[in-house]
Amino acid sequence: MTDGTMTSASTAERMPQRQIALVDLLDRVLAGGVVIAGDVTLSIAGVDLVQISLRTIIMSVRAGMSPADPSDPGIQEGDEV
Amino acid sequence: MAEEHVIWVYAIISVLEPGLLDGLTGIGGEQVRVVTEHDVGAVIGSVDARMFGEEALQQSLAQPGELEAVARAHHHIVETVAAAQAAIPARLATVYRDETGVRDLLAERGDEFAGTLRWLSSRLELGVKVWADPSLLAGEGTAEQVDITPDGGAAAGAGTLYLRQRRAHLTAREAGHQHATRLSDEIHAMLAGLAVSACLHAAQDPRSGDDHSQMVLNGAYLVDSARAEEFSAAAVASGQEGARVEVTGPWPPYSFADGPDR
Repeated sequence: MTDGTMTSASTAERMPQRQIALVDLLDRVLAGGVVIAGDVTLSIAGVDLVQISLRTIIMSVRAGMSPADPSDPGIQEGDEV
Repeated sequence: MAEEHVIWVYAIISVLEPGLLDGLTGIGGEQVRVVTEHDVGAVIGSVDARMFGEEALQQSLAQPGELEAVARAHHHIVETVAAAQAAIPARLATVYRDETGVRDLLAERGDEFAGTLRWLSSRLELGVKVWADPSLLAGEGTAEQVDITPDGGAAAGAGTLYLRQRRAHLTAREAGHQHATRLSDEIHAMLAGLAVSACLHAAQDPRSGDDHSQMVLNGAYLVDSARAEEFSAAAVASGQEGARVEVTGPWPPYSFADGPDR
């Protein structure tokens, strides 16, 4: 792997200064975190919005990683948060 | 202020470590602060309603660049706080119209939050992703054996041969997939045994280009901080030919924010 994430070979290093992978972060900030009801404008009503955003961002991240991959299956079922 | 600002919630904490938020700026460049009610606090920031109000967020979060910027800025605060003390991360884009709403929340759910904070105390989240290449896992190199004679030299047999090879290929691939699923189940069960709690995220997209690997496990594990090294070592050791293990974190406990009884 060349994208800088930790692999089996280098896992002993703990969370280096390098930027964490966006997809891993989005897994967590969009699907995780406590959902708080009440006088909230977005966190509940925004679930759909967030899923749409996630698709968008993943597509853009992938586009950046691999400009030409004709076999790319694209976003698949079950990718929603 | 009520007309121009909304309140962004980063995390729920108990008593704040002194000085922790000094100079810490949030998603809108604002000074992050805490409101406390009944010994439970919310880490918040007042942000421009024109940028972070409902309507503006709906638009900006649909832009990959802006979503990334907001996600990273949110994470920066959550991570800083969670590194110093137990914290319940708030889901991205939890926005209140004013501080009163946040105080009401803390008063209302303070006991629940306190319980979750105790549960999360001295624990951290680690992510484990496993990428498997089913053709390698199958161990027979079967995918490479499918080598169709291009010119159909043995004309009569070429079609049959093709079908036979194709079937063998599919069978091997199916076996490889089953193997990959079994392996990910085993790894997950083993890791869950070392963790306080475990959950699964949806598999991320197949890696582009370089190989045939697929993500067969995207797990999150709440681990006692003292056992984090042991956990990571066990995760790495579970990799094998055809299965690459990647450990991420430590993370704030995003995936365990709902507490022990979720």
